[in-house]
Amino acid sequence: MRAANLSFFAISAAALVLPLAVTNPYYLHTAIAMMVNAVLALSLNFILGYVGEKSLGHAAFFGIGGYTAALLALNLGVPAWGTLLAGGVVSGLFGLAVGFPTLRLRGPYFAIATLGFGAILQLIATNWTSLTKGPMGIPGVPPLAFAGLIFRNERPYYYVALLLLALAAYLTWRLAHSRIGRAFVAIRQNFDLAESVGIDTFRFKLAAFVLGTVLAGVVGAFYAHYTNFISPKALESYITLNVVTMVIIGGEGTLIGPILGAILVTLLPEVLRVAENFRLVIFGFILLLTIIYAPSGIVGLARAAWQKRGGERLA
Amino acid sequence: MPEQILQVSDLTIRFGGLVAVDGVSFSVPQGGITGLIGPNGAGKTTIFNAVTGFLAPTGGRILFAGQDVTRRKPHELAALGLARTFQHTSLFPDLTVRQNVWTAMHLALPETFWQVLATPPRRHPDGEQRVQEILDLLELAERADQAASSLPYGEQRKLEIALALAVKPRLLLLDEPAAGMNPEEAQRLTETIQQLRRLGLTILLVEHNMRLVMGVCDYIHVIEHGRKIAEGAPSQVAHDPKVIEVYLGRRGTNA
Repeated sequence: MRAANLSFFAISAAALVLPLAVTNPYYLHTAIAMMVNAVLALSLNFILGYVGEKSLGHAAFFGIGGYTAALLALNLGVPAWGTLLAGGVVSGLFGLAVGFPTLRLRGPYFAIATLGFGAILQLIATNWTSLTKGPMGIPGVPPLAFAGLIFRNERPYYYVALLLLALAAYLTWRLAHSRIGRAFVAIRQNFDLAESVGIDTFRFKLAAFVLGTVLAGVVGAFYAHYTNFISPKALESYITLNVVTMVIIGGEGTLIGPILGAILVTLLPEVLRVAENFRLVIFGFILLLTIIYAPSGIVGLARAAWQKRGGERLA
Repeated sequence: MPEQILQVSDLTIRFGGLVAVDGVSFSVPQGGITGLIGPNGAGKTTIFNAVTGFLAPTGGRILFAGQDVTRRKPHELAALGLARTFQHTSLFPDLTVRQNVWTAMHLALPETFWQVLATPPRRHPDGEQRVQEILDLLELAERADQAASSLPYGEQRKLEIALALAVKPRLLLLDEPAAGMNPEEAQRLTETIQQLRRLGLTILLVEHNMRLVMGVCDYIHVIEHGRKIAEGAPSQVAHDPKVIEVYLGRRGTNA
């Protein structure tokens, strides 16, 4: 575990000094997008990865956070950090409303409900023009500011994104090593047995889902401030698919997996420079290969390789 | 008469037009081992699932430690001290043996969401000791770091009992623990169950294996076609003509 600690500190240090060394805004923007994706992937990972319930409308919660922040900031003049909090709270309330009736049931109801919720929300964002300005989206979302300093370039946003990622990673790490995380995994591994050893499966499923939606809402609000813009595109189903891809190819129910997945899914199109329409085909293909040949994702492959070398079992 | 830990009265379970359990009443006294036997399809497991909250009964009442627990959820019953095993091996397959027992200690280690987030991970020496005790008791300590799915069959079934013990049961329900075991494994299981009795556990045993049932039970209820047809001490039941006719006579001793 020494090596793991060392590499953790090395990566953290590198992440902290990166914006000082790299000034190219394109690189910084890519890094921010990567971290936003990583937070989003970690937020989905609670319910999809640890608990194992298929949540198929995650972009909706990202979008709710963005719209909440945009509307509060522009219409009511709520200061920037309050909007991040509000984005999380509103998104979490929607998560509660979707999860409460459907997570009680066994079977595909939750997956269908989240899928439908995502589609409905996108329709609302597109058509409720008096509130959302329709497909044009809402421009002019004010930038974040701290102590009178308005964030005008990428660098400060980079640090906020890093902070959010650290928060999401801490939450994941801390929960995974607690009774709560064990309950999540128990539900995924064996639902009936989890119930019979006293785990209130409904409550823990709901907690995992709502926690994830809160986090998705916060990062959605952040992204609206960062790009100064929110539109129904933020709620599109391909974003959900992207996030699901990140979690699965990285490794469901792990801390590192979704982060690696986010890096890969963010970088691949940038590196390949392929047409937008083609990305989905490629991601779909990668997803398929992963599910068939490496169901535990990159982390699973790495673990298997490590154990083959006779190394200690990774926690 | 000792206190009754479980009292089932007039339990009826219908699936559509099929009456699977028809007005069955029985009780389990505190301490000792009570058996629930009957041929295949008699409704034993259906009764078992109703008692453990996995199935809502159509009618009747279930009292556990004097409390009406009819239609309670399984996790609520576990919190009251009712633990079960499953007929088909049921573990957390990808977790190690130790992690399995840790997970089953859920009720013993209350930690709220905010406690988890606000404090660094801490050790639970009491919990760790209890896990070790359970592993030692069931002779699983040497396997502690192996994945549950990699254990031989007999030890998987032992691990199931270990998980039920982690719930700190006042009543332990074993659903066909010897299913699929060879005679040697079944013999070792009998010893394990005897050992649990010596620890003062109260056990309700649903079982096919007659040698096991006759060997460990203090009292037996016989179910056939969803009705109770006999009850009594093992020797009594074994000589009951009705039982011999519907069960022992037709199916042999199944030992």
